[in-house]
Amino acid sequence: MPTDGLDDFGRFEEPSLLVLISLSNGPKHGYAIQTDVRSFANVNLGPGTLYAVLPRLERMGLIEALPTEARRRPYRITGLGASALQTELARVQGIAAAGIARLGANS
Amino acid sequence: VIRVFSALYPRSWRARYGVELDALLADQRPTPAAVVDLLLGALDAHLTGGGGVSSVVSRWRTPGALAFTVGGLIWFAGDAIELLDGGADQLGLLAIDAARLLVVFGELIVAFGVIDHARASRRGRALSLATATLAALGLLVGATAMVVLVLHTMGISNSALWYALEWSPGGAVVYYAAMAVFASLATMRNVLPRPPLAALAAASGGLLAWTLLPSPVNGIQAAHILFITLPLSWLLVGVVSLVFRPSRVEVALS
Repeated sequence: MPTDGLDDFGRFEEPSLLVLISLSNGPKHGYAIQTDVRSFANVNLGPGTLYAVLPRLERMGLIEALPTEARRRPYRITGLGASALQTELARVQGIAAAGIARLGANS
Repeated sequence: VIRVFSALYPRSWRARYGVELDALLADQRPTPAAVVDLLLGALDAHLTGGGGVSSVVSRWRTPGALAFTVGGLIWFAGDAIELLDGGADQLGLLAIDAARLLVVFGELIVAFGVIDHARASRRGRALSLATATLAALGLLVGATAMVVLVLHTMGISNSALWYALEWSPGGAVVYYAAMAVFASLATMRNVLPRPPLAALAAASGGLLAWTLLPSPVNGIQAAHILFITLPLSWLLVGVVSLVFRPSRVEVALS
C-alpha cells in the first residue's frame, strides 16, 4: 500500500496530485474534476490524461467510484488517498520552501 | 466527433470506463489538443491495461512461468545428458536448445515486467532500463546462436559462427553475463522486493547438485554450469513467484 506519496505514478504524478486535490473537498465526476482543476491550478486536464489517472488512483485504492448518475460516475477520495495526498503536499511544500529560501538568500 | 476516438480504447477498458468517458467527451469541445490527449490515453490503456500494469505481463505471466520452469528443467536435463554421454550424440544438445526457446519466452515476460517498472516509477528507472537492455543483449546473442545452430544442422551454415556466439569469450560473456546481471537485478528489484534468500539458495544448490552429480566434470565445465545455473535459478524463483505473488508494481497498484 502506498504510504510514500505518488512516487509510482511516473509521468502521471502531477495530474494525479491535481485530481486528489480536486476530490479532497468532496466527490466529483470527470467533467467537474476538469473544471475544478482548471479553476484552482490553471491546468487543462485532457480527457485521455484524466482517464489514465482515474483507473490508476482507483486501483491503488486512493479514490473510489460511486454509483453512476446520468452516465456520469463520481469519484471520492479514500482515507488512504487523503494520507497519500498529505504526504505528497508536504513534499511539495518542502521543495517550495527550499526554493523560496534560496531565492531570498540570493536577493 | 471526438467520441469516435474513445472507441480506440481496449474493449475491457471500455467495459469499465467507456460510458463515463463518453459522457465526459459529450461535455467538452473537440479541440485538437483533446484529440491528441485522447489518442495518447488510448495508447497508454493498450500498453498498461488501463491501470498501470502491462496487460502483457498480466496475461502471460502464468504461461511464461510454466514455459520457463519446464524449459529450465529440460535445459538442465540436457546438460546432464551431455555430461553423461560425453557429447557422444546430439540428444543433450537438442534438448538444451529446444528448452532455450521456452526459457527465452519466460525471460521475455520478466523483461516486460522490468520495462513496466521502469515506466511506472521514477525511482530505479535507469537501473531497470539497464537490466532490460542487458536482457535484450543476452537474448539477441542467444537467439542468434540458436538460429545459427538450426542452420548448421540443416547444413546451411558452418559451426564456427555458433561456437563464436555461444562459446567464444566474447559471445559467452555477453550472453551469460548479461543474463546473470539481468536475472539478479530483475529478481531483486522488480519481482521480489524482499527476495526469499532461503528459496534462492535452495534452488541454486539443488540445480547445481543435480547438474554436477551425474558425472565428474572438469574445471571449465564446472565454471560453465555455475555460470548458467546461478542466474537461471534466480530467474526460476523470480518467474515462478510471479504466479503466486504480484510484482512490485502490482502490489503498489492493488
